[in-house]
Amino acid sequence: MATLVIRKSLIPASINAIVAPFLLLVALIILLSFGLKIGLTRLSSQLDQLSEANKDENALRTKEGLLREVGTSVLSQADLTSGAVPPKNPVLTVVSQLKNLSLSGGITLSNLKAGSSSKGEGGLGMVEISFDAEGPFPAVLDFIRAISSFSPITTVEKVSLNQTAGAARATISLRSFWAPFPVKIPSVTEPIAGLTDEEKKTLSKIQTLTPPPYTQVAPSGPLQRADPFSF
Amino acid sequence: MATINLLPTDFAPTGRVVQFANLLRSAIIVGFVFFAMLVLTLIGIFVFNSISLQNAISRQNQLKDSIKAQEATEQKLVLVKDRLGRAKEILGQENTSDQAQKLEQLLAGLADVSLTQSEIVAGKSELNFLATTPSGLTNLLARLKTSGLFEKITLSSFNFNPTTGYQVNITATKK
Repeated sequence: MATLVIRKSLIPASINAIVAPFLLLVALIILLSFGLKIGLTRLSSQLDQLSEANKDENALRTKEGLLREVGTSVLSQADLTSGAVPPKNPVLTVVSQLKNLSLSGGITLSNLKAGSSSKGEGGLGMVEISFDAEGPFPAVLDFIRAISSFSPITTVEKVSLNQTAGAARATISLRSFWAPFPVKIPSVTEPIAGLTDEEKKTLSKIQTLTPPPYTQVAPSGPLQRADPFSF
Repeated sequence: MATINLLPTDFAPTGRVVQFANLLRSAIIVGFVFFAMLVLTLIGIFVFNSISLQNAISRQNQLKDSIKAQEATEQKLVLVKDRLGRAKEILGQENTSDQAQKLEQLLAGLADVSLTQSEIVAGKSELNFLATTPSGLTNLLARLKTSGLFEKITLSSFNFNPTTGYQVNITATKK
């Protein structure tokens, strides 16, 4: 005959009934908290990356648009500004400009001297040029005034003027400047700005300067001789 | 047929406990469903963002290529900006050239007056005028006073010579 043995558990039946659901609930809470933490951290980091990528893209788009926009005008501006502040000592160009100016104004130049060049802060080089200018008084004044109107940018440091019987003699000291070209361009991702209002103002001042009259010598290559034996 | 429970009553959980256990089970099921939906949503957002990121990187690379193709323009722009900065620095320096223009303006139309000697340096001008007639002298002084060309004018010396005229030496400061 079969015997039914019922043993009473040490854990009360009421507690036994909620242990399993309770453990599952704890597991769910742990899963939710860890899952949420990991998921949200990853998502946040991905959103940061996306935001950074969008920012970089906008910066690149702006840069690309700017380069496309200035592409046509920047070439002439580069020539103009490089003439105004050349990369090397511009003493010969300045002397040439002075000679041209004196010829057009009926002024005689003498005692032309160029001092030793010096470099200031930020690599800005400077050379001092002194000379005597003789001519009719108004023409000499015009000449002094016109010195600041040619390229490379030249400033008048000192003027001593003597006038006798309508003729004037001025001893003039000038300063002309140069600076080496930049050797580094910003990286592709680095943003670049267009010309500011201040820079446009300076550019418009430079545009009024008279550039040096460079002449281009045509190459005198070997001429073609039809018959090499005929001299 | 009536249900007969032969087990002792303390062997089975009480009704309230059973109810609570059922509630817990329901909450767990809802929680798991919520968790599964959350995971799916997160995966969806993650995939969507990954695609967006890939597209952004691809567009960036296209833009970088385009910028590289315009490197010469960028070089010129950098050069222009550098030269303009230098030019501004130079143009901000003292230049006595404009003093010549002021002298032209001062002497324009003045009869019987000439500038015999002048020394212009760093915005300060020492000017020696010769007025051959009293009216010339009057006109010169009036012009100096009203022209507004200089900030400050100091009369350094004033001489009269019967043969040459009136010699007026002034020190004028640039405006």
